[in-house]
Amino acid sequence: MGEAHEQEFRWVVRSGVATPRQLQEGTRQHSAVPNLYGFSVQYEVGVPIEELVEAGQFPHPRISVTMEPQLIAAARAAGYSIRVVKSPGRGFHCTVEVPYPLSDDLAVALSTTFVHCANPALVRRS
Amino acid sequence: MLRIYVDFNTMMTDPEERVYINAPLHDGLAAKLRPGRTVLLWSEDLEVQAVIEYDEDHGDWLARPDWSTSQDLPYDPDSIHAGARKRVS
Repeated sequence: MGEAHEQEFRWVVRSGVATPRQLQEGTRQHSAVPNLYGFSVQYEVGVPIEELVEAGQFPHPRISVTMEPQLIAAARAAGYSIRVVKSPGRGFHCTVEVPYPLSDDLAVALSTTFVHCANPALVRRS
Repeated sequence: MLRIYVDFNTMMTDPEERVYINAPLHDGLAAKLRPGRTVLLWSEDLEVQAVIEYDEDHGDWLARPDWSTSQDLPYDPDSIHAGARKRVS
């Protein structure tokens, strides 16, 4: 019961559709953290999806949502070890730290954990 | 206009909300980039014109979007199963 409750508040969100290609395109060394390679997400334990999306100020009409335990498990099933680490950036910015470059099989494994939906807090910049 | 596929989530780490261009991932792309050049950034459901910049401190190519040109693109669910990009080793 306690474990299930905790998992409910380990949301990971990204702007746009988290295809394998997207994740590979976004994987790079963080500009402010040497040797931290991965792709950007909004994540914070205990923070609901809506608050993560607002913090990210996402420009896409769609967002992608998963849970941190699912990402970890999908990577493990594919034979990889990853982690989600806090890193400098907007809102609840974190980096999903992955081996660089992000391999095709791991990109597919991680991508399949995401579900896609309309962006409830679309930010239209001018 | 040069079309460049990007991850707009990279904006979250740039104080000026510029988009990272992953030139190391694409053979020959860096040779096409020039500071001041206007390009079209795109992802599965969004495209926007942007101006290229070069960050000498980090050796990164970045693009500054002109959000007045942004367009939502039709969402094709089948495209998410297209798989990862094929690499030429």
